[in-house]
Amino acid sequence: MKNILIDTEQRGLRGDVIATELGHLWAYLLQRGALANYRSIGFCAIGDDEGSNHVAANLALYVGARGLRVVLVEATLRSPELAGMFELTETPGLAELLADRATLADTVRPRVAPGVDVVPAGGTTDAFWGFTNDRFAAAVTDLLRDRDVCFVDVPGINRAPEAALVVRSVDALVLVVEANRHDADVVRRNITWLRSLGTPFLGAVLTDVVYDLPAAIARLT
Amino acid sequence: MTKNLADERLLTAREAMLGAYPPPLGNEPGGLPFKRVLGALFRSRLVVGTCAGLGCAVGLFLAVTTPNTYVSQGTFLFTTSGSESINVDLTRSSDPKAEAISANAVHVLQADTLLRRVAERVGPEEILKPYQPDDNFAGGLSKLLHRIQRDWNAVDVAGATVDEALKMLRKRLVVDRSRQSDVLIATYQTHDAELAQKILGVYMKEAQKWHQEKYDDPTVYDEVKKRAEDAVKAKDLARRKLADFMDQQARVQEFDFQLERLRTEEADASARLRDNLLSIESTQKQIAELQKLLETLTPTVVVHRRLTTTKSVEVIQEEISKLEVQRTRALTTAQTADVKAFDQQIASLQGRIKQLVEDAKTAPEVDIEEDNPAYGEARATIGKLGTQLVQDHAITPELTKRKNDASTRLGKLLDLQPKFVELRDAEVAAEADAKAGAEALQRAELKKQLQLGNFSSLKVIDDASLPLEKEGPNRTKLILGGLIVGLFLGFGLVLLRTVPDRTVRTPADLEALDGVTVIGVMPRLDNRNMRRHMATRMRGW
Repeated sequence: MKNILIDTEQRGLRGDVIATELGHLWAYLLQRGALANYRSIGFCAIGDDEGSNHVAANLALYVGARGLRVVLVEATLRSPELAGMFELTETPGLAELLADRATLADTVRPRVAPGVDVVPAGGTTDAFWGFTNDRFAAAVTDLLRDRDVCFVDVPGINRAPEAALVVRSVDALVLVVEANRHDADVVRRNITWLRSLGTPFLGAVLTDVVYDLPAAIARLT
Repeated sequence: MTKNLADERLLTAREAMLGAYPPPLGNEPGGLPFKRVLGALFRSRLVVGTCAGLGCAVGLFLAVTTPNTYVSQGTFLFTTSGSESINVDLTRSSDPKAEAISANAVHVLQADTLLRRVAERVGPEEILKPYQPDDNFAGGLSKLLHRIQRDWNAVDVAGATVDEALKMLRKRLVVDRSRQSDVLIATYQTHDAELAQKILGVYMKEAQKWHQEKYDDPTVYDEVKKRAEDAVKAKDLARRKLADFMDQQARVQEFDFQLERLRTEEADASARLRDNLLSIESTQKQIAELQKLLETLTPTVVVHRRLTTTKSVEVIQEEISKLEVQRTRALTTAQTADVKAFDQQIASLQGRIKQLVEDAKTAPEVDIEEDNPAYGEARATIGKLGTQLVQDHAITPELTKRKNDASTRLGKLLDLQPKFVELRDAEVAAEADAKAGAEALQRAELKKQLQLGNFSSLKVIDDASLPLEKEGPNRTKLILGGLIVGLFLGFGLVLLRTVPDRTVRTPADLEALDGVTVIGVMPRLDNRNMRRHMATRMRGW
């Protein structure tokens, strides 16, 4: 998933696989109350660079291309990537909004893709303090006034202390876990911690899955 | 959806009630399913491949550097006659027993002394000669391999010692005995066919000589004879020692009898002395008691009774007796007149006695002082006891001396008893050894008379052969063996890594966690992986 943005027109094996999996993911989210009960959904990971931003971005592109109005908010102020990914100007972004140096309208990059608006991370030296007030929650609420759903890229919960504050401001959570990286006990502890924050936990997405066994042998086992 | 920690605990409790947590018996996490092992093997194929490659390389190295080996073989046979020896163990009293020579032949024929003789005869340099493959008919590759083998196996044999050659012989010479027959097969393995034949040939000749030395009949007979003579000497010596001991130290003829006699004598003397002392003590007590009694008694007592005439009656009776004697004389002399006179006198006196008796009955009663009989008796008894006490005191020193003498002699003999027992046991053992030795000698003489000599019946029936083909190494097997060992090593390493590994790799691993639902799976985006992903999704997971 890394550094790959879905091309809605792309065909072939890669396009099929990504579209299929995003379809399954969106179906699961709908079935668990997305749009109906939960309109702001956070995508968080245990560490850095596990693919949570790509999952959020690709899912936004996927549902935006199918007629929904989506806003993608990058709350990972410590390692912003969305601006580069979508080839946008980096500032003003969320950091400036939280620091009250820009308005919400200034930070939103409208229509970067069909049905998709993006709020990039922006630039700041203090990634934590801006989330300690209600501005982020208010911004999410404002963003959802004329949009169907908001996807928030949450900082890595083991890396950034503001992750808990971001999680508090969204309606529901999805945990992104990179395969072949974490011990089962680490994942269990982090899920328990996420649940303890009180935000509904919708499920986990496993990324970068590697199939070691050839299909023929896997079929036999 | 849960909102706080309390709700989280509630969720766990609910799962526990439903049986989801803890997992049922047999489904606990931490097992090692086959699929996981297989996946680990594919994932670590580089490690397995490297190990296999290393193993293969080692096998190849061994295959290239191991020199060719040739085995020369020779055969010995034991003939039926004289195939047993008599074992005489003079340290034991058991009978000598016969034993098949071939049973010990393998050990006898691998003795270091024998191998040392072979090493000295062949020469250490020859035995330790390095591998020199023949290049005469070899091609280019073979020449290269020969050169590698020569370089790798090159050793400096100048100044090689017999001990080094002995080690080599121990390693390469094998003597094996067939179970069902008396055939011995000797083999020698080395890198040169002719050298193998030469060394084995020398060995077989030396082995035959060696065996004859060990089992030569005259030697055995002399040895048995010498042992028997030694046993007799030992017996005589033991007897002499015992006799000297009896004469000079114990000074008795029969030790045990004398010891018993002294014990009896000492017990008797002790008893007599004890009786004497008890008697003295008892007599002294009696004397003291009687003296106390005497203090309570008076020498005389006053008796109140009639005055007796007994004395007068007795005088008269005495006169009557005299008259009767005279009367009897008169009768013998026939003097009748005298007899009558005597009769009258006797009658008169008898009348007088009657008169006195009548008077006594009417006599007045008076107090008369008489001796006290009890007092007298006590004094007499004290006298007797005093005499006895003096006698007992007189014999006490003698009894004491007799008892002390007996104790001293008994003690001396008891002190000598352990030495006596030791010497007597030594004499008994020496006698048993002498008896066994005599019996063994008798058997050996019988065999000698029956001409059952030449016990070593080891014959060479097949000389050392010249090997026509190499015995080894099997280079293909070496390479394959290295490969297999490397593969197993790789598998082992992978298993060691896999057993404790709990990394989340598949959706199943994630779903195995408590209450986690996997709502999305994104494969790594390379074509092979995506094809496998699609195949898996088509099959369902």
